[in-house]
Amino acid sequence: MFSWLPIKRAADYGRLTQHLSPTEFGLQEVADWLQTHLSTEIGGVLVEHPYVDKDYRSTYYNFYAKKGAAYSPHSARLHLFKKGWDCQEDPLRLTTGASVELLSDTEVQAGYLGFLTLRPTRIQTIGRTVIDPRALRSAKGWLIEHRHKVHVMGYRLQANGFPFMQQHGDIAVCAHTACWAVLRHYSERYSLYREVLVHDVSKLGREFDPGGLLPSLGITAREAERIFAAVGTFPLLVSDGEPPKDGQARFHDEMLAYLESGFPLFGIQIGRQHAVAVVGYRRESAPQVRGNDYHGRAWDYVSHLLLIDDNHHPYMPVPRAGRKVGDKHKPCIGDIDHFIVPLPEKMFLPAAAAFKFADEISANPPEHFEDLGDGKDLVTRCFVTTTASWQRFVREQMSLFQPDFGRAALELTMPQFVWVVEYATPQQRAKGQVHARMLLDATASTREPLPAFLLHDRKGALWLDRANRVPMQYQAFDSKVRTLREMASNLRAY
Amino acid sequence: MEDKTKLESSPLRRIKNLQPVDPAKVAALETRLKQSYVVGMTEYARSARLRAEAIRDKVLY
Repeated sequence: MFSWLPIKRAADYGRLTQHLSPTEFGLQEVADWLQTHLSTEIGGVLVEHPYVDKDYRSTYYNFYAKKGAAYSPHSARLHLFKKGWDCQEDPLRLTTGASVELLSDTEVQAGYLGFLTLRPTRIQTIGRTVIDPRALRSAKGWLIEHRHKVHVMGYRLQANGFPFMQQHGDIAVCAHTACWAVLRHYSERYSLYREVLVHDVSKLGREFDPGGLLPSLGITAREAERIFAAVGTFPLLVSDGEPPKDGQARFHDEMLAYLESGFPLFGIQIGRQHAVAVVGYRRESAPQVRGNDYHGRAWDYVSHLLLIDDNHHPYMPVPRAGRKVGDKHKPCIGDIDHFIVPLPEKMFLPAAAAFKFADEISANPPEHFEDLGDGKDLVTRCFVTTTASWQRFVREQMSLFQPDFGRAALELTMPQFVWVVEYATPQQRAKGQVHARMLLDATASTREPLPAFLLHDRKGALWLDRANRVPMQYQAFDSKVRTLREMASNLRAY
Repeated sequence: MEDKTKLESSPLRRIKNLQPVDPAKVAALETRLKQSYVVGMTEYARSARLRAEAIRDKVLY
């Protein structure tokens, strides 16, 4: 059944109690959450109840149905719509403005801002949720996101965002929830990875069935690695440690490189014994660090990370520096001292190696690229992309390059993934331009001294055709390329 | 002769004004990178492994 809750002011979310059981769905807490976090973009909520939610059902069949207390198998789902939308009866349909026609999926999609499911578990009831970042007050920045299919009232829609849920607290804790969010994004975005439900996640970390009690006692980073590996990813655990020596990548350089590559991270906060998913960041035009901390890397311009934290809300921004409010320490980037990045198979060269190699090249540049080391205030940015994305970028930029460079860039045999290293001055970064770009073989070993395919600037290109074992070649361009554009990352700006 | 054969099977062969980089310069670059990049990454990998192992069994709630 469907019912419509118009939202004119934040307090209207309290009227959810007229649509659903307040106790079963913990509506007081839900209404507070909606009032606090949803933006004023929301004009109405379509309430769908009963709703069969596959994630809740996985825990219902294996856990809640075995309890002495009664739990319903049915969830509820709240669909968020922009201002100006309404639900009409006879015939049941969604409308906007004065339209009397039945609207198409595309027309309804224009007003759709995602959904929350509510579990009938009385406490911490916000289940599988995908909310468009525009529907939240504080979601601003670069985000990893994807389209999630939604079928509602006969319309086929999509929710754009990253999966979120509150932890159950018993059958799944924060670390399960963070694993689930990352893996649901993977299964929706890449057909290679199978879908795992909440209860599957609670089991996959152990060699034996953990039953109903053990998941509530928490999981270790080792078990999180096992969960990621069980679905076909290759988890790499990266730890913050002693201050790096010159030229080494800092922990946060690596973190940003993987994030910019579109890999969501399982962030570990040892001090808080907590886990989150790291799914985006905010950057500024001015460096966010000073003095000895400044290395001329893209991380130095990042002001916030955006987290999926089951204790808070989707895309929660956390700043670099922590602060105390009363007795409470507000979350900050420094709380995350380790992360697991679930990598695809053909990624053998870690981010630390890409940075180290990039630094070596700019410190002692090869012939024709001397100006990389001329004391220019260059900022280094590293991220992974697919060869297909690189070729698409070359195709789009073809008019800027001379034809033989463009053709060779399209035809060069490379593996599925390459590291892209871009050097740019702060002024170039502000205009979306780069000074020089290098492509590294993501399948190279860290014992290979020259893992590069290509280094080019506006004047020429240094080629290494690794597949054909061609000795290094230099191509001087007939005339300087007008501008070199920055490659877009795999994230979307909000 | 062998190098020419390899270039003939490469997409680079269509590039005009392609200049082979002096092999002595390439060898010098490789030697320098072996001493800095490869050695640095070997040290880094060892310490990164130890740091990761130290927290693998910490419990997260």
